[in-house]
Parts: sequence; C-alpha cells; structure tokens
Amino acid sequence: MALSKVWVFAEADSPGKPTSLTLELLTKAREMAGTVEAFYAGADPDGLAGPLGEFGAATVYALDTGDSLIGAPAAAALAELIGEHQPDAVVFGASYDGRDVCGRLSARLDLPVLSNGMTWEVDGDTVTVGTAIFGGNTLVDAVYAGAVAPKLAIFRPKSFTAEPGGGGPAQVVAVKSVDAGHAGEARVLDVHEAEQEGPKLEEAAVVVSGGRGLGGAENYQLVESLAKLLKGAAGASRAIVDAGWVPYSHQVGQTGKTVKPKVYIAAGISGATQHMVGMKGSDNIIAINKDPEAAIFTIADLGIVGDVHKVMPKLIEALKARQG
Amino acid sequence: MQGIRSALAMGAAKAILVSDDVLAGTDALGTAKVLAAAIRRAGEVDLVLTATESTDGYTGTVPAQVAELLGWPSLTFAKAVDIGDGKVKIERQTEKGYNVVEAPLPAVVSVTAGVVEPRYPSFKGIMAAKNKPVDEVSVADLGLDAGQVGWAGARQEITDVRQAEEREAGEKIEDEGDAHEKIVAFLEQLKVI
Repeated sequence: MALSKVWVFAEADSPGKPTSLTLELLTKAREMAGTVEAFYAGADPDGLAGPLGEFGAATVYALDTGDSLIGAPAAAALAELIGEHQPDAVVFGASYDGRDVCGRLSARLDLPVLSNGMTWEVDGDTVTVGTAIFGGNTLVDAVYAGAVAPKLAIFRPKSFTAEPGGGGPAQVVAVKSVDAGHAGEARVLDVHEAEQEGPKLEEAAVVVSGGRGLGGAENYQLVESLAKLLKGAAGASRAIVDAGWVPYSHQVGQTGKTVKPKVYIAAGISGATQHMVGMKGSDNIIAINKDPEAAIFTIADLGIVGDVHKVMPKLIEALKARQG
Repeated sequence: MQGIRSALAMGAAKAILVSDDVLAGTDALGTAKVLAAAIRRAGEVDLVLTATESTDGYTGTVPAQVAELLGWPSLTFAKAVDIGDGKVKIERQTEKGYNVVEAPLPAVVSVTAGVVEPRYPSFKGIMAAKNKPVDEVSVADLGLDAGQVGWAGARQEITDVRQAEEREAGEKIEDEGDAHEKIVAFLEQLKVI
C-alpha cells in the first residue's frame, strides 16, 4: 500500500545534473507513493527537468534564491507550498543543505523529523524509518506518533540505489519567494570548488583510501598512484583529514562520504566504527594494516597483515608491469 | 556539570544548565525549543555557536531548528569563522570544497571539528570557574510545557531495535614479501584489472 504524494528535496551537482543522492531518493520514492514531485532551490531548474523526470518526478517546484544561503528562504517557501498541496511526506538527503532546510522547515511547521535514515518502508499509513545508532551496529526502526503531516525524513547517501524510471521531463513550476526576514539574510559571497581528477568518490567503481598507518602526508601519493592505476578515486580516513594531509572532500565515513564501490582498498586504516559506516557496504573490501587486531579486518574480504610501505609500492609496480 | 565547569574554566563568563527529568527522550526539535528558550532567557545574545551533530544520533538538525525558532540565519558546517562590523562570515563546508557565507548578526553558527585547536584551561581559569554563575533551570522555568519535550513531545516511537547483520571477514594473510600478488589475483578474479 502506498502513500498518495511524496516530495523529494532535489539538489544539483552542476547545471543540469542532480546529485546521486537526489536520484536515490526519487527512485525509492517511486516505490512509496503514487505521485512523486521534487522541490528545488537554486539556479537553472529547467536543466533538471529531464533527469528529475526520468527518475520519477512529475513536477519540479523551483525556487530562485539568488545568492542567498538557501536554508531559510527554501524552508519558508516550502512551508507555504506544503500548505497548498498537502504532500504526505517530504524527504531530504543528509547533505548540508538538506539538513538545514529540513531542520528549519520542521521548526517552522512544528513537525518531528526522522533523521539519519537508512531504510524506508510504508505499510498503509505507517511510515517506518530505520537508522543505525552509535556508528552502525544497532539498528533502530521508528515511526511517527500521532497525526503527523507531512512526515519529514532525512536519509543518508547510498541507502537506496538510483534507477531511472523512464519518465518524461518533469513540469517546472516556479515557486513564489516568501520573505524570511532577518533569518533570510545569509548570503553566499564566494564558491570554492576543489579541482577534481578522475571519478568522484561516491561514483567510483574502485576506491583506495589511506589512513594514519601511511605514516605521513608525503606517503598519500601511494594511495593516489594506486587509485589512478585502478581508474578509481582516492579516499581518506578522518584521522588524516584532521591532520591536514588531504582535504575534507576525500573523507570517507559517518561525517564524510558514504561509498559503495565494487572494490574498497583500505591502506593503513584501523577501522574506526565511524569510518566503517561510510564504506562497509562496498562489494569487496581489501585491507592492508600492520596490526593483525585492527577492526578493519573484521569486514575485509581479503586482509593483508603487513606494512603498507612495503606492500603498496610492490602492488603499484606489479600493476604498472601488467599495463605494459 | 563537569562539561559546564570546563567551559567556564576555558573562559566562558556564565552558564545556563537546563536540567529536568521531563527532558528524557526529547527529540531534536524539542531540544531546539529548550535551547531557544534558554537563549532568549540569557538575553542580548549576538551569536550562538554549536557543533554540527551529536555522535550518537547524527541527526544534525538542531542548529537549523534553533535558528528558525529564534528567527535568525543559520550558517552551518563552518570550518572558519570571522566576526566584524556586526556581521559573521564563515567558510562553509560543501561536498566539493567550501563557500564563503556572510550574515548580519545575530546568527547561529555551527562549526565542524577542527575549526580551532581548543585551549587548555589554565589553573587560574579552573579556580575562577568555581565562582562563575551557573543558572540551573527547569523546563517550566523556561515557560515550556512538559508535553512539548521528552518522550511524549517527540512524536516518534521506536518499533524495533536489533543488531545489524555483521559483515563476515574473508581471508587474512601475513605479508611475507608477496602479499601484493594476492591482491593482484583478487582484483583479476573480480575483473577489475
């Protein structure tokens, strides 16, 4: 049994390209509801009509927020739209903006939010959101208590798999701005995006990640070389990001990115619970660590107890030799 | 109280502690309502600084909720913060790098780990902390109804708690100089190379 109408908060990576998380939510929403629509705050909504439609959105409600930080204006406009159209549920990805807009919206409408969700089920009127607490080994299912409308939820990346539904382009409906007063006065003055070579972490078929076991920032190039040879992306544990060896955009884990590649190679990573949350869904895991008791070995399909400074250069050499 | 004394020892002038049994089971929005009421009670506040999320629930919505309840902008996920001229300017973490975001005060700012190196409380600071005022209040003192907080106010019910299926470990070998060959074979078998 399905809900009647579900809205998905849509975000874009670049003009015309919805984020994977948006597409994952739309795919799941198609299972949950008869009608799926998207809400988008940002530039060039027309460019998104095609891909959002292909993944199930019949309509895109589009708000132009100019150079404003979208949180407050988006929540204000969305609150009015909800009053007008009465969706049964509105779902957000656990992105920076997703959490801001959902948080502000929940306060504005005095509604509970089920957050950090990894599973989503609908049975008649009952909506269940499952989450993993304390970093991932205890699963908790929760439902909304009492008459809650709409039901708000925030889902983690890679909870669902994105699959096109074959729909035509969504209808783009421009949304009127709602004055958010002082709350709406935050503005984006400048955008800094790191140069990106190779596949994105969240999309790569192979991810090679490094941790403190690498010994120093100068050794991260082993990770990068290996990733490049395997046409993959280079990731990192939080420890080495905090230590300043690599930028935060490389971080894999609870407070970094969630990845589900075909192969994940963890080099010099001990396997802190919060790191494993971000990669334990990988199809195949290879771990290299000096410590035989490292937690990472409990989830590795192939565990190598050894020195990364010895194993990785040899692995790189062997792969280069094969390539010609 | 320990955390409060540490904060006072590190330089805070005074503290407000909302301690009340009715708060057990409070969800994020309820927490935000309590915090917003306490902030209003503190009076004359220009800036509210928070972390981005807790390490048990990772809900990450409280800073935005507090800001909405106060009617203030929320500048979240800041990895650098600057104040001047009645405005706050931050470097806001994004998936691809960072944005520079600015807003006139008052505002709520949430910061990511590593935004600063915390200072160690000095002995003088620890001694001074003993005399700094700590205002202990209940939910009722804040003008809130017990029904807005706690398990009742949360409007969510837990229906199941279970242990996750553990992923099983596969082969584990010790490197004796040729472990890399095992990796190559494994990758070949997966048709990655």
